[in-house]
Amino acid sequence: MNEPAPNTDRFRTLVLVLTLINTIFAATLFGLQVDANIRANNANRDSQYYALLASNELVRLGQQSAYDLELFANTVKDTQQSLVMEFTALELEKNGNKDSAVRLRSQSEISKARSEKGVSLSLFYADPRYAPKEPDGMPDFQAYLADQGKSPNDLVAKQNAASDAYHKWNGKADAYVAILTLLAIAFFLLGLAQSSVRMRLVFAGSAVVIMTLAAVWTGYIMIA
Amino acid sequence: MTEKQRLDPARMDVMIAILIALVSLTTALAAWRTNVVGSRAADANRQGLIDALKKGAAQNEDWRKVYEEAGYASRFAIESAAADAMDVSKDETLKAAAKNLRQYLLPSMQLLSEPLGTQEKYLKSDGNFDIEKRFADLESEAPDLLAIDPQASFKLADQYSSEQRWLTVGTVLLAISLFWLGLAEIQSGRGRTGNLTLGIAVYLLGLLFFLIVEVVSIVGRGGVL
Repeated sequence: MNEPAPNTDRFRTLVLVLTLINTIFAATLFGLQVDANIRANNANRDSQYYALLASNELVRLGQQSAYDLELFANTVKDTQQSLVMEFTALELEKNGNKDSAVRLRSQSEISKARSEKGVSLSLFYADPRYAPKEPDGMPDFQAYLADQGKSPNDLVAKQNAASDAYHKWNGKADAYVAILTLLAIAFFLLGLAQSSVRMRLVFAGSAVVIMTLAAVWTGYIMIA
Repeated sequence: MTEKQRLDPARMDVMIAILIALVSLTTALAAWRTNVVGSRAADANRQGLIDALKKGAAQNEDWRKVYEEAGYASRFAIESAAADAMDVSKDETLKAAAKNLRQYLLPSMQLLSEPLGTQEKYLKSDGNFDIEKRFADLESEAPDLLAIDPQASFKLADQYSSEQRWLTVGTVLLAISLFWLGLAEIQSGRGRTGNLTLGIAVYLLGLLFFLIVEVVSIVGRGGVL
Protein backbone atom coordinates (compact mmCIF):
# COMPACT_ATOMS: atom_id res chain seq x y z
CA MET A 1 0.00 0.00 0.00
CA ASN A 2 1.38 3.37 -0.96
CA GLU A 3 1.68 5.96 1.89
CA PRO A 4 0.72 9.50 0.95
CA ALA A 5 3.76 11.78 0.52
CA PRO A 6 4.18 14.22 3.44
CA ASN A 7 2.85 17.67 2.65
CA THR A 8 5.94 19.89 3.03
CA ASP A 9 3.99 23.09 2.25
CA ARG A 10 1.72 22.88 5.32
CA PHE A 11 1.61 26.17 7.21
CA ARG A 12 4.14 27.70 4.84
CA THR A 13 1.73 30.51 4.00
CA LEU A 14 1.27 31.15 7.71
CA VAL A 15 5.04 31.44 8.15
CA LEU A 16 5.21 33.79 5.15
CA VAL A 17 2.48 35.99 6.59
CA LEU A 18 4.27 36.03 9.95
CA THR A 19 7.51 36.99 8.21
CA LEU A 20 5.72 39.80 6.43
CA ILE A 21 4.21 41.06 9.70
CA ASN A 22 7.61 40.87 11.33
CA THR A 23 9.19 42.81 8.47
CA ILE A 24 6.63 45.60 8.65
CA PHE A 25 6.91 45.64 12.43
CA ALA A 26 10.72 45.87 12.25
CA ALA A 27 10.55 48.59 9.59
CA THR A 28 8.11 50.64 11.68
CA LEU A 29 10.25 50.13 14.76
CA PHE A 30 13.33 51.25 12.86
CA GLY A 31 11.48 54.45 11.95
CA LEU A 32 10.47 54.96 15.59
CA GLN A 33 14.05 54.36 16.70
CA VAL A 34 15.38 56.97 14.27
CA ASP A 35 12.72 59.44 15.43
CA ALA A 36 13.52 58.83 19.12
CA ASN A 37 17.21 59.27 18.38
CA ILE A 38 16.60 62.59 16.61
CA ARG A 39 14.45 63.82 19.50
CA ALA A 40 17.10 62.74 22.00
CA ASN A 41 19.82 64.56 20.04
CA ASN A 42 17.76 67.75 19.79
CA ALA A 43 16.92 67.66 23.50
CA ASN A 44 20.58 67.06 24.30
CA ARG A 45 21.52 70.07 22.16
CA ASP A 46 18.87 72.24 23.85
CA SER A 47 20.05 71.11 27.26
CA GLN A 48 23.64 72.14 26.47
CA TYR A 49 22.50 75.43 24.94
CA TYR A 50 20.41 76.38 27.97
CA ALA A 51 23.26 75.40 30.30
CA LEU A 52 25.50 77.76 28.32
CA LEU A 53 22.95 80.58 28.45
CA ALA A 54 22.46 80.09 32.21
CA SER A 55 26.20 80.14 32.75
CA ASN A 56 26.57 83.36 30.70
CA GLU A 57 23.69 84.94 32.59
CA LEU A 58 25.35 84.09 35.90
CA VAL A 59 28.58 85.72 34.70
CA ARG A 60 26.67 88.88 33.70
CA LEU A 61 24.79 88.95 37.00
CA GLY A 62 28.08 88.54 38.85
CA GLN A 63 29.43 91.66 37.15
CA GLN A 64 26.22 93.58 37.83
CA SER A 65 25.98 92.52 41.48
CA ALA A 66 29.62 93.39 42.09
CA TYR A 67 29.01 96.88 40.69
CA ASP A 68 25.69 97.42 42.49
CA LEU A 69 26.92 96.16 45.86
CA GLU A 70 30.24 98.00 45.77
CA LEU A 71 28.45 101.25 44.98
CA PHE A 72 25.95 100.59 47.75
CA ALA A 73 28.66 99.69 50.30
CA ASN A 74 30.63 102.85 49.51
CA THR A 75 27.47 104.94 49.75
CA VAL A 76 26.61 103.50 53.17
CA LYS A 77 30.21 104.05 54.33
CA ASP A 78 30.13 107.71 53.17
CA THR A 79 26.74 108.29 54.85
CA GLN A 80 27.97 106.86 58.16
CA GLN A 81 31.28 108.70 57.91
CA SER A 82 29.41 111.95 57.40
CA LEU A 83 27.17 111.27 60.41
CA VAL A 84 30.07 110.28 62.69
CA MET A 85 31.97 113.44 61.74
CA GLU A 86 28.89 115.55 62.36
CA PHE A 87 28.42 114.01 65.85
CA THR A 88 32.10 114.49 66.64
CA ALA A 89 31.93 118.11 65.46
CA LEU A 90 28.99 118.68 67.84
CA GLU A 91 30.95 117.13 70.72
CA LEU A 92 34.01 119.29 69.94
CA GLU A 93 31.79 122.39 69.75
CA LYS A 94 30.29 121.50 73.10
CA ASN A 95 33.79 121.18 74.56
CA GLY A 96 34.77 124.61 73.17
CA ASN A 97 37.03 123.35 70.39
CA LYS A 98 35.31 125.41 67.68
CA ASP A 99 38.09 125.42 65.04
CA SER A 100 38.34 121.62 64.99
CA ALA A 101 34.55 121.41 64.92
CA VAL A 102 34.36 123.65 61.82
CA ARG A 103 37.05 121.59 60.04
CA LEU A 104 35.32 118.35 60.89
CA ARG A 105 31.96 119.73 59.74
CA SER A 106 33.52 120.55 56.37
CA GLN A 107 34.83 116.97 56.14
CA SER A 108 31.36 115.77 57.04
CA GLU A 109 29.90 117.86 54.19
CA ILE A 110 32.35 116.27 51.74
CA SER A 111 31.38 112.76 52.86
CA LYS A 112 27.72 113.76 52.63
CA ALA A 113 28.23 115.00 49.06
CA ARG A 114 29.86 111.66 48.18
CA SER A 115 27.02 109.74 49.82
CA GLU A 116 24.32 111.81 48.05
CA LYS A 117 25.94 111.22 44.68
CA GLY A 118 26.21 107.52 45.50
CA VAL A 119 22.51 107.42 46.39
CA SER A 120 21.59 109.01 43.05
CA LEU A 121 23.72 106.45 41.17
CA SER A 122 22.85 103.35 43.17
CA LEU A 123 20.20 101.01 41.86
CA PHE A 124 19.21 100.27 45.47
CA TYR A 125 18.03 103.88 45.94
CA ALA A 126 17.21 105.01 42.39
CA ASP A 127 15.09 102.01 41.32
CA PRO A 128 11.59 102.13 42.87
CA ARG A 129 11.53 98.32 43.02
CA TYR A 130 14.32 98.27 45.61
CA ALA A 131 14.40 101.81 47.03
CA PRO A 132 13.76 102.12 50.81
CA LYS A 133 10.10 102.79 51.63
CA GLU A 134 11.05 105.12 54.52
CA PRO A 135 13.64 107.97 54.48
CA ASP A 136 16.18 106.10 56.69
CA GLY A 137 15.14 102.60 55.69
CA MET A 138 17.16 99.91 54.00
CA PRO A 139 16.70 98.90 50.33
CA ASP A 140 14.67 95.79 49.53
CA PHE A 141 17.48 93.25 49.09
CA GLN A 142 15.06 90.33 48.96
CA ALA A 143 13.37 91.80 45.88
CA TYR A 144 16.79 92.50 44.33
CA LEU A 145 18.01 88.94 44.92
CA ALA A 146 14.72 87.48 43.66
CA ASP A 147 14.97 89.54 40.46
CA GLN A 148 18.64 88.66 40.00
CA GLY A 149 17.93 84.95 40.38
CA LYS A 150 14.87 84.86 38.12
CA SER A 151 16.46 84.74 34.67
CA PRO A 152 19.17 82.13 35.48
CA ASN A 153 16.59 80.05 37.36
CA ASP A 154 14.24 80.14 34.36
CA LEU A 155 17.09 79.05 32.10
CA VAL A 156 18.10 76.27 34.48
CA ALA A 157 14.45 75.09 34.59
CA LYS A 158 14.45 74.94 30.77
CA GLN A 159 17.81 73.16 30.84
CA ASN A 160 16.46 70.58 33.30
CA ALA A 161 13.35 70.02 31.16
CA ALA A 162 15.51 69.52 28.05
CA SER A 163 17.80 67.19 29.97
CA ASP A 164 14.81 65.14 31.17
CA ALA A 165 13.51 64.98 27.58
CA TYR A 166 16.93 63.80 26.43
CA HIS A 167 16.98 60.96 28.99
CA LYS A 168 13.41 60.01 28.07
CA TRP A 169 14.03 59.82 24.30
CA ASN A 170 17.45 58.30 24.66
CA GLY A 171 15.95 55.56 26.84
CA LYS A 172 13.25 54.96 24.23
CA ALA A 173 15.80 54.80 21.41
CA ASP A 174 17.84 52.25 23.40
CA ALA A 175 14.74 50.17 24.11
CA TYR A 176 13.76 50.22 20.43
CA VAL A 177 17.20 48.82 19.56
CA ALA A 178 16.63 46.01 22.08
CA ILE A 179 13.23 45.26 20.52
CA LEU A 180 14.77 45.28 17.04
CA THR A 181 17.18 42.63 18.31
CA LEU A 182 14.20 40.56 19.48
CA LEU A 183 12.65 40.90 16.04
CA ALA A 184 15.92 39.73 14.49
CA ILE A 185 15.61 36.60 16.64
CA ALA A 186 12.01 36.22 15.43
CA PHE A 187 13.28 36.51 11.85
CA PHE A 188 15.77 33.74 12.54
CA LEU A 189 13.06 31.50 14.01
CA LEU A 190 10.76 32.17 11.06
CA GLY A 191 13.60 31.28 8.71
CA LEU A 192 14.02 27.96 10.55
CA ALA A 193 10.24 27.42 10.38
CA GLN A 194 10.37 28.01 6.64
CA SER A 195 12.99 25.33 6.08
CA SER A 196 11.87 22.78 8.68
CA VAL A 197 8.79 20.60 8.16
CA ARG A 198 8.49 18.69 11.44
CA MET A 199 9.34 21.61 13.75
CA ARG A 200 7.68 24.28 11.62
CA LEU A 201 4.88 25.06 14.07
CA VAL A 202 7.23 25.02 17.08
CA PHE A 203 9.56 27.56 15.48
CA ALA A 204 6.67 29.64 14.17
CA GLY A 205 5.02 29.54 17.62
CA SER A 206 8.24 30.66 19.29
CA ALA A 207 8.54 33.50 16.78
CA VAL A 208 4.94 34.54 17.51
CA VAL A 209 5.66 34.58 21.27
CA ILE A 210 8.72 36.81 20.69
CA MET A 211 6.82 39.08 18.30
CA THR A 212 4.00 39.44 20.84
CA LEU A 213 6.51 40.25 23.56
CA ALA A 214 8.11 42.83 21.26
CA ALA A 215 4.72 44.35 20.43
CA VAL A 216 3.77 44.67 24.12
CA TRP A 217 7.16 46.19 24.92
CA THR A 218 6.84 48.64 22.02
CA GLY A 219 3.36 49.67 23.19
CA TYR A 220 4.63 50.19 26.72
CA ILE A 221 7.54 52.33 25.52
CA MET A 222 5.33 54.43 23.25
CA ILE A 223 2.88 55.14 26.09
CA ALA A 224 5.60 55.80 28.71
CA MET B 1 6.93 37.53 -26.81
CA THR B 2 3.93 35.48 -25.64
CA GLU B 3 2.48 35.55 -22.12
CA LYS B 4 3.80 32.04 -21.53
CA GLN B 5 7.33 33.03 -22.55
CA ARG B 6 7.23 36.07 -20.26
CA LEU B 7 6.19 33.97 -17.27
CA ASP B 8 8.84 31.34 -17.94
CA PRO B 9 10.32 30.53 -14.44
CA ALA B 10 13.94 30.70 -15.61
CA ARG B 11 13.41 34.11 -17.25
CA MET B 12 11.53 35.31 -14.17
CA ASP B 13 14.40 34.19 -11.94
CA VAL B 14 16.88 36.31 -13.88
CA MET B 15 14.53 39.29 -14.09
CA ILE B 16 13.76 39.22 -10.36
CA ALA B 17 17.46 38.80 -9.53
CA ILE B 18 18.25 41.92 -11.60
CA LEU B 19 15.42 43.75 -9.87
CA ILE B 20 16.71 42.69 -6.44
CA ALA B 21 20.17 43.99 -7.36
CA LEU B 22 18.69 47.31 -8.48
CA VAL B 23 16.53 47.66 -5.36
CA SER B 24 19.46 46.68 -3.11
CA LEU B 25 21.60 49.35 -4.73
CA THR B 26 18.82 51.94 -4.37
CA THR B 27 18.28 50.97 -0.74
CA ALA B 28 22.00 51.27 -0.03
CA LEU B 29 22.07 54.71 -1.68
CA ALA B 30 18.97 55.75 0.25
CA ALA B 31 20.51 54.58 3.52
CA TRP B 32 23.70 56.49 2.66
CA ARG B 33 21.79 59.67 1.86
CA THR B 34 19.70 59.33 5.06
CA ASN B 35 22.89 59.02 7.08
CA VAL B 36 24.47 61.99 5.29
CA VAL B 37 21.42 64.09 6.18
CA GLY B 38 21.66 62.87 9.80
CA SER B 39 25.33 63.87 9.88
CA ARG B 40 24.48 67.30 8.47
CA ALA B 41 21.94 67.75 11.28
CA ALA B 42 24.58 66.78 13.85
CA ASP B 43 27.10 69.16 12.22
CA ALA B 44 24.61 72.03 12.29
CA ASN B 45 23.86 71.35 15.97
CA ARG B 46 27.57 71.26 16.74
CA GLN B 47 28.09 74.54 14.82
CA GLY B 48 25.19 76.11 16.73
CA LEU B 49 26.74 75.19 20.07
CA ILE B 50 30.16 76.50 18.97
CA ASP B 51 28.48 79.75 17.86
CA ALA B 52 26.64 79.99 21.18
CA LEU B 53 29.95 79.58 23.02
CA LYS B 54 31.67 82.24 20.90
CA LYS B 55 28.78 84.67 21.26
CA GLY B 56 28.52 84.03 25.00
CA ALA B 57 32.25 84.59 25.51
CA ALA B 58 32.09 87.86 23.53
CA GLN B 59 29.04 89.04 25.48
CA ASN B 60 30.66 88.17 28.81
CA GLU B 61 33.68 90.24 27.84
CA ASP B 62 31.43 93.15 26.78
CA TRP B 63 29.52 93.04 30.07
CA ARG B 64 32.79 92.94 32.01
CA LYS B 65 34.03 96.01 30.11
CA VAL B 66 30.74 97.88 30.60
CA TYR B 67 30.69 97.31 34.36
CA GLU B 68 34.37 98.16 34.63
CA GLU B 69 33.62 101.50 32.92
CA ALA B 70 30.56 101.93 35.13
CA GLY B 71 32.70 101.44 38.24
CA TYR B 72 35.18 104.10 37.11
CA ALA B 73 32.36 106.41 35.98
CA SER B 74 30.56 106.23 39.32
CA ARG B 75 33.83 106.81 41.24
CA PHE B 76 34.54 109.83 39.03
CA ALA B 77 31.04 111.20 39.60
CA ILE B 78 31.33 110.70 43.38
CA GLU B 79 34.78 112.30 43.61
CA SER B 80 33.55 115.20 41.42
CA ALA B 81 30.72 115.74 43.89
CA ALA B 82 33.25 115.65 46.74
CA ALA B 83 35.40 118.26 44.92
CA ASP B 84 32.30 120.45 44.47
CA ALA B 85 31.65 120.20 48.22
CA MET B 86 35.28 121.18 48.92
CA ASP B 87 34.90 124.18 46.61
CA VAL B 88 31.97 125.60 48.57
CA SER B 89 33.65 124.86 51.91
CA LYS B 90 34.82 127.75 54.15
CA ASP B 91 38.05 125.87 54.72
CA GLU B 92 40.75 127.31 52.41
CA THR B 93 42.85 124.13 52.59
CA LEU B 94 39.94 122.13 51.25
CA LYS B 95 39.44 124.64 48.42
CA ALA B 96 43.09 124.26 47.50
CA ALA B 97 42.76 120.47 47.66
CA ALA B 98 39.72 120.66 45.38
CA LYS B 99 41.69 122.64 42.83
CA ASN B 100 44.45 120.04 42.80
CA LEU B 101 41.94 117.21 42.66
CA ARG B 102 40.40 118.75 39.54
CA GLN B 103 43.79 119.28 38.02
CA TYR B 104 45.45 115.91 38.69
CA LEU B 105 43.11 113.20 39.96
CA LEU B 106 39.73 113.75 38.30
CA PRO B 107 40.98 113.90 34.67
CA SER B 108 42.68 110.53 35.12
CA MET B 109 39.54 109.05 36.63
CA GLN B 110 37.50 110.48 33.79
CA LEU B 111 39.81 108.91 31.22
CA LEU B 112 39.31 105.50 32.81
CA SER B 113 35.54 105.87 32.67
CA GLU B 114 35.47 106.70 28.97
CA PRO B 115 33.13 106.61 27.12
CA LEU B 116 30.37 105.62 29.56
CA GLY B 117 31.24 108.33 32.06
CA THR B 118 31.98 111.05 29.54
CA GLN B 119 29.53 110.84 26.64
CA GLU B 120 26.14 112.52 26.96
CA LYS B 121 24.35 109.71 25.15
CA TYR B 122 25.12 107.34 28.02
CA LEU B 123 23.69 109.64 30.67
CA LYS B 124 20.07 108.99 31.61
CA SER B 125 17.66 111.75 32.58
CA ASP B 126 17.86 110.66 36.26
CA GLY B 127 21.65 111.17 36.21
CA ASN B 128 22.43 107.46 36.07
CA PHE B 129 24.46 105.66 33.40
CA ASP B 130 22.77 103.89 30.49
CA ILE B 131 24.60 100.59 30.84
CA GLU B 132 22.37 98.71 28.37
CA LYS B 133 23.00 101.32 25.66
CA ARG B 134 26.74 101.12 26.20
CA PHE B 135 26.54 97.30 25.98
CA ALA B 136 24.53 97.52 22.74
CA ASP B 137 27.15 99.91 21.28
CA LEU B 138 29.98 97.58 22.30
CA GLU B 139 28.18 94.68 20.62
CA SER B 140 27.71 96.65 17.41
CA GLU B 141 31.44 97.45 17.38
CA ALA B 142 32.04 93.76 16.55
CA PRO B 143 29.60 93.05 13.68
CA ASP B 144 31.11 89.61 13.02
CA LEU B 145 30.29 88.49 16.56
CA LEU B 146 26.91 90.23 16.47
CA ALA B 147 26.07 88.32 13.28
CA ILE B 148 26.66 84.95 14.97
CA ASP B 149 23.26 83.32 15.36
CA PRO B 150 23.21 79.88 17.01
CA GLN B 151 19.45 79.67 16.44
CA ALA B 152 20.01 79.75 12.66
CA SER B 153 22.25 76.67 12.93
CA PHE B 154 19.72 74.97 15.21
CA LYS B 155 16.94 75.74 12.72
CA LEU B 156 19.02 74.22 9.92
CA ALA B 157 19.68 71.16 12.11
CA ASP B 158 15.93 70.81 12.72
CA GLN B 159 15.32 70.94 8.95
CA TYR B 160 17.89 68.20 8.34
CA SER B 161 16.46 66.12 11.20
CA SER B 162 12.97 66.43 9.77
CA GLU B 163 14.29 65.36 6.36
CA GLN B 164 16.12 62.44 7.96
CA ARG B 165 12.86 61.23 9.55
CA TRP B 166 11.01 61.18 6.21
CA LEU B 167 13.96 59.72 4.31
CA THR B 168 13.99 56.90 6.85
CA VAL B 169 10.37 56.17 5.93
CA GLY B 170 11.38 56.08 2.25
CA THR B 171 14.32 53.78 3.02
CA VAL B 172 12.03 51.48 4.99
CA LEU B 173 9.65 51.29 2.01
CA LEU B 174 12.58 50.35 -0.23
CA ALA B 175 13.65 47.66 2.26
CA ILE B 176 10.10 46.28 2.35
CA SER B 177 10.05 46.11 -1.45
CA LEU B 178 13.27 44.11 -1.24
CA PHE B 179 11.51 41.66 1.04
CA TRP B 180 8.65 41.19 -1.44
CA LEU B 181 11.06 40.71 -4.32
CA GLY B 182 12.94 38.16 -2.24
CA LEU B 183 9.69 36.28 -1.72
CA ALA B 184 8.99 36.41 -5.44
CA GLU B 185 12.42 34.94 -6.13
CA ILE B 186 11.94 31.92 -3.87
CA GLN B 187 8.27 31.29 -4.67
CA SER B 188 6.63 29.77 -7.71
CA GLY B 189 3.21 29.92 -9.37
CA ARG B 190 0.61 32.64 -9.07
CA GLY B 191 1.92 33.89 -5.72
CA ARG B 192 5.19 34.75 -7.39
CA THR B 193 3.63 37.20 -9.85
CA GLY B 194 1.63 38.79 -7.04
CA ASN B 195 4.71 39.23 -4.86
CA LEU B 196 6.70 40.59 -7.79
CA THR B 197 3.99 43.14 -8.61
CA LEU B 198 3.75 44.19 -4.97
CA GLY B 199 7.53 44.44 -4.68
CA ILE B 200 7.79 46.65 -7.77
CA ALA B 201 4.85 48.81 -6.60
CA VAL B 202 6.34 49.34 -3.13
CA TYR B 203 9.74 50.05 -4.68
CA LEU B 204 8.34 52.69 -7.02
CA LEU B 205 6.31 54.18 -4.17
CA GLY B 206 9.39 54.28 -1.92
CA LEU B 207 11.52 55.81 -4.67
CA LEU B 208 8.91 58.45 -5.48
CA PHE B 209 8.44 59.24 -1.80
CA PHE B 210 12.20 59.53 -1.32
CA LEU B 211 12.59 61.86 -4.29
CA ILE B 212 9.67 64.06 -3.20
CA VAL B 213 11.14 64.37 0.33
CA GLU B 214 14.53 65.27 -1.14
CA VAL B 215 13.15 67.88 -3.54
CA VAL B 216 10.89 69.49 -0.91
CA SER B 217 13.72 69.57 1.67
CA ILE B 218 16.34 70.95 -0.71
CA VAL B 219 13.96 73.63 -1.97
CA GLY B 220 13.07 74.43 1.68
CA ARG B 221 16.77 75.00 2.42
CA GLY B 222 17.14 77.28 -0.59
CA GLY B 223 18.94 74.76 -2.77
CA VAL B 224 21.44 73.53 -0.20
CA LEU B 225 22.02 69.77 -0.35
